[in-house]
Amino acid sequence: MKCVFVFESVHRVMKAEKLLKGKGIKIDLIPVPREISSDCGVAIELSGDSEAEALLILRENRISVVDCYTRDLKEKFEKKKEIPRDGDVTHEH
Amino acid sequence: MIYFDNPATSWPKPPQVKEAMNKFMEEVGANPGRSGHSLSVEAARIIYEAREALSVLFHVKDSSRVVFTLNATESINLALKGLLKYKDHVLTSGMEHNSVMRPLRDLETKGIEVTVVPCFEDGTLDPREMEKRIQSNTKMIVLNHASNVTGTLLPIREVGKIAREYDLLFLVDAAQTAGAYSIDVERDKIDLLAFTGHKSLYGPQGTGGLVIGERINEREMTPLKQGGTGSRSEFEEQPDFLPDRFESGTPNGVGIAGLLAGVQFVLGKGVEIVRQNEMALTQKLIEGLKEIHQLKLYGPENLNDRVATLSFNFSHLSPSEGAFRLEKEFGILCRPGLHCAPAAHHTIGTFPEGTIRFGLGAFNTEEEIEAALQAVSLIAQER
Repeated sequence: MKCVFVFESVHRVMKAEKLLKGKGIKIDLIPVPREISSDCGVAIELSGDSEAEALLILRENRISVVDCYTRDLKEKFEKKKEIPRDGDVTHEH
Repeated sequence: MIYFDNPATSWPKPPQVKEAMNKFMEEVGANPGRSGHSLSVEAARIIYEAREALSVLFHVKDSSRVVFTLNATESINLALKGLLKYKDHVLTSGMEHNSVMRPLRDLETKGIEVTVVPCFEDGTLDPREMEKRIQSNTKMIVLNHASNVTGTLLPIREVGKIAREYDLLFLVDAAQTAGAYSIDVERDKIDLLAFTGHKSLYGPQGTGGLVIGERINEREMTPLKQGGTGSRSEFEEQPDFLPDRFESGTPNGVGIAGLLAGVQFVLGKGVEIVRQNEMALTQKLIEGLKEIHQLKLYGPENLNDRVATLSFNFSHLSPSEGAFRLEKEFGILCRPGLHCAPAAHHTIGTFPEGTIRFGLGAFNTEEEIEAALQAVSLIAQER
């Protein structure tokens, strides 16, 4: 099972990429999967089991994840309901 | 050849700027962040790094608040037209460039009130004169950080303090200072910082930006243009978040790659060192010009009140004749005339003839100053 993070803007994806890679978390940048959104941007896929750690790092740096999805072995995406939308940190200030 | 037209566009550029642009064209070249493929992502990374580097330079906490534009002019237009509304009042100085005056004169015809606060003949401004003219409907103060005509520094820190005290927005035109003089948007209480990439940041033409401070709600600021951003593509409405709200259409990726290298060059040297070097040359130049009696020099006496730009006139030649001869006979490239700043020339008393302007950059040398002084002296003495 892999986890995919979707962000509001490419800027935040870039910031998140740098932060997560800097902390040694294995990630891939992938085109936002069609199943998630018709958006033409990029998303971050976590390859290991580091979802909780990654979310913590992002929250500490006030980068909100708009949505988080899991990808199962059949390549089906499922939106994770328990992932906080960081309602109080929707904008970086 | 001696290049003294740095206030228009700095030249030459550090070699790493050209290398970064070449690398972008050869190895990156794709549309930043519009697709998930590796070249698109690499282009997006470069733009992200440029925003970060500029945030370090200007002390911006959140780099998403650095919005890229074509130049300072576009940034100023975005700030003024995006925020000023019918019946608002805006204050500015008598030393502004047309990048400020023309949009303001246009806004005036649309019911926005404009007051131009007079400056002294050397281009300096008494901040109290600004404060005196604040009205109940004043929304913004727009101020040139340094004059592109005389190099005079305007008191942005004092005016920033006044703006904050009266809860006004403060827009600074840093076209002549970004990279050449210390700027801290927090310390200087700047809400909007308009900068260009191709002068003292040593980037290419067609790069610039606007820092949109945290006191501004970007949702209430109107973009100059709408269009594709690579984000929220399923919606036909413009995004309301930064930087996308103000960055529609494919950006100048290759230019921004060059700008990043230019900003890194400045950060590597340190703004204070760049300034010290430029001002040492400026001092030598001013002292030499003062000894030539047939000249009239403009701008403040005190070196601390200026950047490395100065204006002068021969008593027997028009500015354009003087500049033409300086190039033809001595290989000195400079700019005569009004420098797109009629207001500033009115203030210093040189409208409509203008002046000859010498503007130094990081690559000028003492030998060039000596050669220029000799050239000016020879032309002046023939009278």
